[in-house]
Amino acid sequence: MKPRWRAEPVKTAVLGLFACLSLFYLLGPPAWMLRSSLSPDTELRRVPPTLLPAAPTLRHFLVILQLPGYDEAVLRENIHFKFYRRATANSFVISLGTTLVATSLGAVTAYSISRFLGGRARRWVLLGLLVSRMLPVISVLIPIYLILLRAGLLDTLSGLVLVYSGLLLPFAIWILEAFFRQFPRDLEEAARIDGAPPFAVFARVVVPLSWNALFAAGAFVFISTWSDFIVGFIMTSTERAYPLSVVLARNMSVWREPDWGIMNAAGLFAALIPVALAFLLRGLVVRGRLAGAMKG
Amino acid sequence: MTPVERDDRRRAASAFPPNGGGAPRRPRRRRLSGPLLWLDGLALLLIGIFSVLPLLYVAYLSLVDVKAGQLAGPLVGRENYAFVLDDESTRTAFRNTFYFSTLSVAVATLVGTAIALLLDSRAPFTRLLLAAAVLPWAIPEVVNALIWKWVFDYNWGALNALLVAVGALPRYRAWFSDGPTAMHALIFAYSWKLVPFVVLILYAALRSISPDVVESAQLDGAGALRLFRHVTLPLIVPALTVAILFCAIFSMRAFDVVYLLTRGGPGESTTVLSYYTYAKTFEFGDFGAGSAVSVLLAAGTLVVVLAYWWVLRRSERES
Repeated sequence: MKPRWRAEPVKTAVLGLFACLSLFYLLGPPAWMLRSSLSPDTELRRVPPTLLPAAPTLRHFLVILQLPGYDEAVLRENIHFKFYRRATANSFVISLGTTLVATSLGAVTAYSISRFLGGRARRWVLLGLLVSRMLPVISVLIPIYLILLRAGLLDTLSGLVLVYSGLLLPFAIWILEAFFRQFPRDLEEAARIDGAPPFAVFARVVVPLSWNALFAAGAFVFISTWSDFIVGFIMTSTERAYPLSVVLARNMSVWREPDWGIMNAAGLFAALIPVALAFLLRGLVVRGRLAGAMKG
Repeated sequence: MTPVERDDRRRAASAFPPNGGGAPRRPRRRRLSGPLLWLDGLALLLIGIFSVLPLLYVAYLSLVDVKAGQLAGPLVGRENYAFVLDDESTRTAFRNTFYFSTLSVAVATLVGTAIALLLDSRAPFTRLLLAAAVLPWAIPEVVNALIWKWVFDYNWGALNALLVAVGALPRYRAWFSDGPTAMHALIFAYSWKLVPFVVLILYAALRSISPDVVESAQLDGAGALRLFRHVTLPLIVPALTVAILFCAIFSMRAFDVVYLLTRGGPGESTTVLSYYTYAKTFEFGDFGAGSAVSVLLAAGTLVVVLAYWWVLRRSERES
């Protein structure tokens, strides 16, 4: 067989051109962030800008992570610069905590819905979950703020884990219910005939065969929590609980020119984990309801 | 008690149900009990406290006269609604939200569909393109805002440099200094983030079209355009609807890009409802008016969510 470009040279060239344009559109902006995060300040202020930095540097990353050899003068430039390390740890605690709570409780609930609720009741529950998941978070922030205020959980990591778990549980249940509904029941039947109670059937038969789905749901919850801004923004007020996204946003004032080198490095750093997780997930995303439930 | 005995007891119980007979129970339907039940209860409690209760509470707040930081107040009926609906700013926020959402969805749908078609026609670099198409989704929205703020930057931004270099612009342009330009810049930045949903949903739909259908149309002499118009397009309409509604739901709540790129400005020209709610509540401390706008925004979204649910169920039933 002839290679494709030989058989249909014009068509392939046109398609290739459009593919390149799409790649430029999709990859250009993040690539520009990568390029800028590695450029020294003098090159960031060059007009017109150069495509690649002549002398790439890691100094912006050193500053935000406060690694040996960082420039202390830059750190003093903006009070929020020194919060990045703490905020990274906070984001990890919040996201991992939420992932654990929402995925495990979500799995149990999704399983219960798929096995113990009949057609009509299940449809209503699923609709309720969809609605609570899709409604704008901003419209429930006032009550959540007041609840945390009264419970003394404003500006704490545990408060954020609770809020995110409550907000993302419907999402986890929604994804996992679709999975458990298709889970072959014969396997459970066998265990049940041996006299295992429902929870044992779930824990010993269903869970060990569902790690893929659980991982997918967990990764979605993690990405959603890690990427959220508005909840963390309203519920925190000090570096004690600031997540990474909030520190990033607080550095990006509209009123004065941000330090672009630092900002691009911090942005790249904050995007690293969700992007890595998303690529692990890619195969799982393309299927039906998962694609429909992607956004946190 | 041995497992066999327990099983016997269960069988006996199902043969003589406690309600004294009546309709025989279906064998599949068992009772929820033990740890499963408690854990479900715990999940319901969390959802109740942080998803359901807030929704009811915000509806209550919208009907009372409440001071910032207080939990209750005297009922005032429609007063908060009358107050916000009478405000020209609210109407502007509604108009802006409508414009922002419609255009964001349109741009994302067009670009996303084009990329999905490219992927499906096995253009060069397909694997790379598929990977790249996931990227905007995976990048957190704050970082997305940062990327575009930097690209649109007046002095050192890549966009001005690029457009002047290729001769599309005579001189550098301030992208956020006048209303319409700022709005369109925002739409461009936000729709970039929506493109992956459209690509993934449509690509899956395109892949599920049977090659036989396409082949027989080609044998009947249909050209590429007619093939798309009369064969492909009708087959992907359900997926397209899902993608559009999905993007609509998210663009109606877009907050991060607005907050980080324009703060609703210049003037009120990019103040969308979600930002308006935030500003009313947390910057001006008017919880009553903020709640009223929240309820209106939620009600608007609910309509789209129900449409989404309806389409999703219909396509599930068909498949």
